[in-house]
Amino acid sequence: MFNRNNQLDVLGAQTAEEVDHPTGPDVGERMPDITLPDQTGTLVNIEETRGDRRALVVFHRSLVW
Amino acid sequence: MQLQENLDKFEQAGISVFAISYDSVEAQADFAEKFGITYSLLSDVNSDAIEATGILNVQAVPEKSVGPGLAASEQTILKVTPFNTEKVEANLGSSFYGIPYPGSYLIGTDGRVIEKLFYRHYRTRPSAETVLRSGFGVDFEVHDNPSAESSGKGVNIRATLGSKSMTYMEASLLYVEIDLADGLHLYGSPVPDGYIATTVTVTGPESVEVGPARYPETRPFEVTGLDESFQVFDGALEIAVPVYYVQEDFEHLLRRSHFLASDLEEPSAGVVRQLIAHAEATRPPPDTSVELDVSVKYQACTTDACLIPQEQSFKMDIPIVRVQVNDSTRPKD
Repeated sequence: MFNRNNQLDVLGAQTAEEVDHPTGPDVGERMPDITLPDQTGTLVNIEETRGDRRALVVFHRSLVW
Repeated sequence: MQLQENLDKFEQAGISVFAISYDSVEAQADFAEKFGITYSLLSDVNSDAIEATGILNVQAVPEKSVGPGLAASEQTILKVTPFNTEKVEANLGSSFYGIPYPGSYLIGTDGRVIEKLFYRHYRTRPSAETVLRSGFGVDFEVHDNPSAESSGKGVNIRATLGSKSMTYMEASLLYVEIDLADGLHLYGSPVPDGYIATTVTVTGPESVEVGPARYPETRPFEVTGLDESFQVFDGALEIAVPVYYVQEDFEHLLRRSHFLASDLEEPSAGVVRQLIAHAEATRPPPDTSVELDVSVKYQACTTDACLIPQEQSFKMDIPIVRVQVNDSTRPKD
């Protein structure tokens, strides 16, 4: 039994005010249109690729360092 | 975030996964091959998407080296463990420019953000399993996750970690489920004088940080013959406690130190290399697991009477998994 119950804030994720820097689109807003090459060099548009599915978009500082 | 390991669960739930960084396509391809990544790794070399999203790290500005050592910088950064913060001087080199403030967005079927996850400390990230469960509401059986149980009179307690293991700076939730027999309820805060509110306390070694427990909603309750009003839980309740393993993996620390040393000029670089060599020679063995102590204090009551306050305690062994590290190579200049 794992209730959802808005437990994400329990993970320590903080609001924009608490993290001292901007955090991009808010809940309810849209991400900007993003088209970038993937690891095969193929151009990927996030909206087109996800279609009508849900998505997780993760921004890393770097995969290299 | 161990996304690849849990990718099948995302796919089953119909959730597309995208990771974005400013590394080149070659670097992404290299990473994908090394770690068997099959989800999309998107290369944002000019940081266009990062900027369009509004999360370009404007504090990581290009600086030219002045004399020996790193560029002098007025910038300060927040050095944090998840719950404490102090300001320290930053010495960010030019290779850092273009990075985002790292974080994640959960996107709904209509393309709108349903949740976003940003943390004070850039190293912190949520575990994939907790994103799935708490973020997307995907329910799946957890057979392998560390768990422990304890039974009392009419009260059964089971604690389960929201992931199979803990990793450096990965935020996980410890879910403490309390099942109550029919007719029993437990008090929640605020509780009148003399009564015990249900409290979950999790403690661990120094390498583990524990966040504030989050309790579910209570409902108001009148006890026959008493004036005070109470807030109670009944049936079954789940309390979530954030836990983080904050002891940096020594290998990882050494790799980062090598990387940072390569940005220094002599003699600083030489000094740092000597320190690294010493650390390598004297490093302690990494943790393979940690023990958490879970303690639940409560007072169970029926409509007519209260049982004496109880405390149920038990231990949990949590495996520690090392962070996946790419080989230290210089980022783009």
